[in-house]
Amino acid sequence: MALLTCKKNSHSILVSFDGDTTVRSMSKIKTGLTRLLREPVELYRFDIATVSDTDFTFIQLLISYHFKLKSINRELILVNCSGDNAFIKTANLCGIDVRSILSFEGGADGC
Amino acid sequence: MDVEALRDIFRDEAAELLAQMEMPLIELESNPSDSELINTVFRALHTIKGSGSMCGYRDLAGFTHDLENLFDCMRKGRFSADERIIRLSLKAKDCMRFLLDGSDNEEQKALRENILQEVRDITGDISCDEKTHEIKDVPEVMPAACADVYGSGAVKDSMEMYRIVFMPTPDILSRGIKIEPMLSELSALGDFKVRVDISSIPDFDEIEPEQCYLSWVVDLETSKDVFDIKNVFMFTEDYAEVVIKYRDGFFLNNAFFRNEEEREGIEKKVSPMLSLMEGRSKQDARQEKLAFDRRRADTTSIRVKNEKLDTLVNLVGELVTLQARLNQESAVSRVPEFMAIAESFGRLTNELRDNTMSIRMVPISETFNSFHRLVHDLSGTLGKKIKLITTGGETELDKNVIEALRDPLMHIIRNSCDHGIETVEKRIEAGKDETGLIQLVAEHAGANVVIRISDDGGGLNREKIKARAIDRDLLPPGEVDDRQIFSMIFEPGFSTAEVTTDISGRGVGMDVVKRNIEKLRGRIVVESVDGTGTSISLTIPLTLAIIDGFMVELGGSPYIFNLTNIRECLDFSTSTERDEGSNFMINLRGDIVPCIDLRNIFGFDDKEAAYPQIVISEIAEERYGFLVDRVIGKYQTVVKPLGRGSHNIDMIAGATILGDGTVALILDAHCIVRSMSGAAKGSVPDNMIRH
Repeated sequence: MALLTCKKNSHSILVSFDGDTTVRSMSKIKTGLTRLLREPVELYRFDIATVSDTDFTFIQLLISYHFKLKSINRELILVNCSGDNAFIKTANLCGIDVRSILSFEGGADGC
Repeated sequence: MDVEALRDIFRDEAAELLAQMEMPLIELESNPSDSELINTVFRALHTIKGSGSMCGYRDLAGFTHDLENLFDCMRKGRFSADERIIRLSLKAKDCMRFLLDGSDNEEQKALRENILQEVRDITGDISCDEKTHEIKDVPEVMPAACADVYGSGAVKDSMEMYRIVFMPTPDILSRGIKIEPMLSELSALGDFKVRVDISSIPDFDEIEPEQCYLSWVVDLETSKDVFDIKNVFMFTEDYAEVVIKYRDGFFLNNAFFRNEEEREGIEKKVSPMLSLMEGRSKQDARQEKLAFDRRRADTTSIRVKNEKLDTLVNLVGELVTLQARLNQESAVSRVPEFMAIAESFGRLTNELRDNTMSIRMVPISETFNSFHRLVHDLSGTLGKKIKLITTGGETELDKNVIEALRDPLMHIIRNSCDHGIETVEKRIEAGKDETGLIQLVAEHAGANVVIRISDDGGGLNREKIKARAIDRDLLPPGEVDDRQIFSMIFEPGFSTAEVTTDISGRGVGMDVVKRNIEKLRGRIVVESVDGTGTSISLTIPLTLAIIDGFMVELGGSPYIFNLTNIRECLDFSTSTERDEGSNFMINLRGDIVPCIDLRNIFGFDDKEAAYPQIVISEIAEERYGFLVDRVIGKYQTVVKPLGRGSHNIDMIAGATILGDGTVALILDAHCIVRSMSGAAKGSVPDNMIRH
């Protein structure tokens, strides 16, 4: 089961995803992300370092969320990305060029 | 969606898959190395196992697992299908049905244990599930197009470029299918490059997070053959469009197309996928609305409960009745606006009626296919060799008609196996092939469907049936039509005890068959040649709920014929000579046509109409006239069943409620002819006695 923990300051919010972010958890993750839209922040930082198991549904949800935030002048940044991260491995396997679609803290080179 | 709803869907789908498994299993008997048959069963088992596990059917999933392994081993060539495996699989299929229905018991559990033990004996209790499989030989039995591609069927040894487009349906994940392992399996086959189309991902507010909005294009360079690639997608057949393009042509799902041949036609069909293949820009794809027509198509197919469909048909029936009333009222009022509205309303109602009735039409193939198992099992029990061939399974009938047809068809086929087809020894003695043939054919004939069950068995013994019928006073002595003689097998009590040898038992229960077919307003015709075989034709109306009727008046009351039987109407001169009874003849353009006075039959003793009319109808390829007081004309008829205790019930097929609330009886022209021929006992010409 996915675990979302949030830390908020005046202009940004940090969301850590932990464990399983596969299709089984996707409905709950969407509910959580929808709730976060109500927060009066400009920057959303999603920490994906401890995602252990994921699939393309998580990536397509994040892409959709990214476009949603963009449309309301907010920004999504993925943090703690690395090449051996489950998120990046899944994106690579599925041919989803997350580096060009999403934004990464410190640039996409580290992923 | 709640779990119970999901389980409902699973039960329906699993039942369908189990039904679909039966045919390939039986076909495996004659084609044990046909990889497509093995794969079909394997896919069905895999889906039942996966979805069953997801929906909480643990016993079912567990039981299916070992069977799936058995077929996986066969796929990988560890051993071939044989009689024992097929017998076990069919038994296992029945057990799975019990598990699915929730009608499990101790006896079933013991049976399952025995089956699993035998399965493990065959497989050596070894799992054949390997992610990376070895290069296999091209299957011995390949589709013709595939054999063409590979010529002599040799294994490929050079590298080849493949481009694969994979477009899943949105609900693919709910079918227990995971996409990442498939991509991973593809990547293991060779040099793999994958691109994804994300243009269909909807806005966050609209996204269904458990659905798939992506499509993939894979470029793969590999020494593996196209079948290895197709195998990766074997579980997705019903839930995705897959195009595999390579040097020789391309596969669209399971169909193979050469690049040059038929390209123009197929391009239209696969244009969205071909465009993706050609790597057009996303912008172009959007402009041309290429993205995922498959999704749109998929959402047009839904499952609906039978009860809901029946309610809809009943409501439409009421609407048709109301429309008739509106028509009547508007005609009386003579208000142009009112009449125009009634006319438009009539058009819409007719369209709605036709569409609604078409929803209930289903192909008869599923019913036909279930008889393969029956014939297979009976062959074993009777120690005969019998093959069933079905044709016209795509013919559609009202689902209620199909349900009502199942038992009569089963009875006729069982009789054909039991009493029609001879033993192997007798067939060889008669110079026939040792395998007896039963053919089941369905075809359209106007507003009816004709289902023919024929066998190449011993045939009916005409003389014995005739003698017995005369003995029982069912037929008059002298020359009698063959069809009339053979129709005696439908007489109650015309049983094994009375007729022996080749035809013994042909009549057992056949009276029930006839009754059931007549309940469907159908007809039965038997033809048989001694020593050569028997053919039984059932003519069944496409639907039972609403018919095109033809209204007439008798003694001031409305009556309705089925319009499909009506050929023409004539004025009748009351001065024409007639017998005292109900029957007389007319000369119709040089032909003598027997006529029946319906006033007489229904006991109207008031004064005959000044200008009566004759309705000429065609029944079993013969013309008959019905004398009525007045012809009213065509009438949309919603058929309502008639209550018991009505006089002349055999001649009445039902009733309908007219626009003004009057009840009109629907006449069964066929029954009237038959009843009158029986009642007249010889005073009616022979050609009136048809069945």
